[in-house]
Amino acid sequence: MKEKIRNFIVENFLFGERELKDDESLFESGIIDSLGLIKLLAFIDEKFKVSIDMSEIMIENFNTLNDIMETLKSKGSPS
Amino acid sequence: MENLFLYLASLCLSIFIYWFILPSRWRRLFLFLMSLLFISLFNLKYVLYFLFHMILVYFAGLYIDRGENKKKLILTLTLVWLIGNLCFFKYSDLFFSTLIESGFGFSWMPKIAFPTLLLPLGMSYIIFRLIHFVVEVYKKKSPKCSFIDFGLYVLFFPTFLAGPVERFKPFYTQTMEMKAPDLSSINQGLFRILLGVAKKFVVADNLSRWILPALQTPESHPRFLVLLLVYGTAIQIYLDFSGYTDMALGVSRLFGYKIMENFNRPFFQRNIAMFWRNWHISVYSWIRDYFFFPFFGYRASTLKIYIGIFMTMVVFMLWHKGNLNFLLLGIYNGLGLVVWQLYQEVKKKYPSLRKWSLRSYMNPVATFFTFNFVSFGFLFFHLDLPHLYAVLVRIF
Repeated sequence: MKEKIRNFIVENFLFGERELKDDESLFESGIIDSLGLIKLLAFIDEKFKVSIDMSEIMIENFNTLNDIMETLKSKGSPS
Repeated sequence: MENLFLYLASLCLSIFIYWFILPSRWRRLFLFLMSLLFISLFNLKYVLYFLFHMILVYFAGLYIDRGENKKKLILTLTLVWLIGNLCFFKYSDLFFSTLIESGFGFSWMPKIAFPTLLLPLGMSYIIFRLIHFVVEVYKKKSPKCSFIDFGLYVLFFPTFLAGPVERFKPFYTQTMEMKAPDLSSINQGLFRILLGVAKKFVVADNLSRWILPALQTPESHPRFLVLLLVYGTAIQIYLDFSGYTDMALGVSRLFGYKIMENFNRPFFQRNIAMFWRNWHISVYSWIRDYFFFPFFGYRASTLKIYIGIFMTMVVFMLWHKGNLNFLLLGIYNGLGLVVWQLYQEVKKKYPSLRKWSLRSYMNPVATFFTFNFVSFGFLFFHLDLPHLYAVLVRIF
């Protein structure tokens, strides 16, 4: 799951031009913005059938790849 | 300036009492009372008005936190009341004076005069803190706290006038784990206050005294100078606003609080989305978290998301001031953000365009373009449409 999400971010936001570290901030480094987060959540919803509640959509829950995995784990998704 | 010295003298005295006279358990109450006193210096009615809203939100939070039935209804009613209050004070003037008093622009409509409403000082920031608190309680992400701790968060006097809109959890954590400041914190606090005073009172105020009258008569200045005045306006607004933030952060630091930053080198960002993400960060991120995500979530269509991006910017600008100029500023930047997002989609389809945009020499070009775009937008801060038009005619 983690690798699929990483690949999605690399392909869609980094255009395959570099790698993404687990603890790299997606927002501070400008890799994704609000619209990017929405696209990422739509991908997670569609691919892994994990729906994120509106109240959970906070930057701090999706700031790094590790944060994303923590958030998904708290929803009972396998890592 | 006399008020400033009086403020600084009272500040020194309060810091001395806060750290050296009071036992640690009384410090929170002292700061809370200091905040009430500070607000009462502007108008005693403000204190009563804010206390009423704080009691309302605190008890709504207690009810919601107990997990009683109808907690969603209580949350909704609280939000409607808070937003209704903000809109009434902030936008009724725009509606009544701009539209009704002018007869909606039609000469045959009757012109009715309405009294001007006095917006309670700091209200926009306080309502945002109250909304944030009650929503976080509903989400079960807010720690339990006493009314004094809650009140201190809402009214904390260094951030009362011009923010930032700090989030409750980090503020409350610092209240609970308060330690006497070390020398480096005091130095940082004093440095930020001096930096803020220099930005606001030395540079920004003097710049505005020179720039604003000159912008009213662009036809009497050379074209290049008018362009510099446009850039100067943007820099003056930044220095004015970030100067206030520096002072607020510096004073907070002297009382042991590290409040979130509100600006992060906005004029050095290479696109408009990055610019706004680094300008007035606390309010922009608040509107993103409590307006954009809940109302335009990820299940929305692409069109709805673009509408959301546009509306977020309009709401962000109207939050600053409820008048026609800020509405136009929101529309201008909202359209700018939508066009920028569309450009991102185009870049995905054309790798050569993407590679070209990523070339190192494009960084300064993109930053300069962004600076120009936002600088011309900032003219809405100070100029009405005829003057704005005159400035554009003079330059182009």
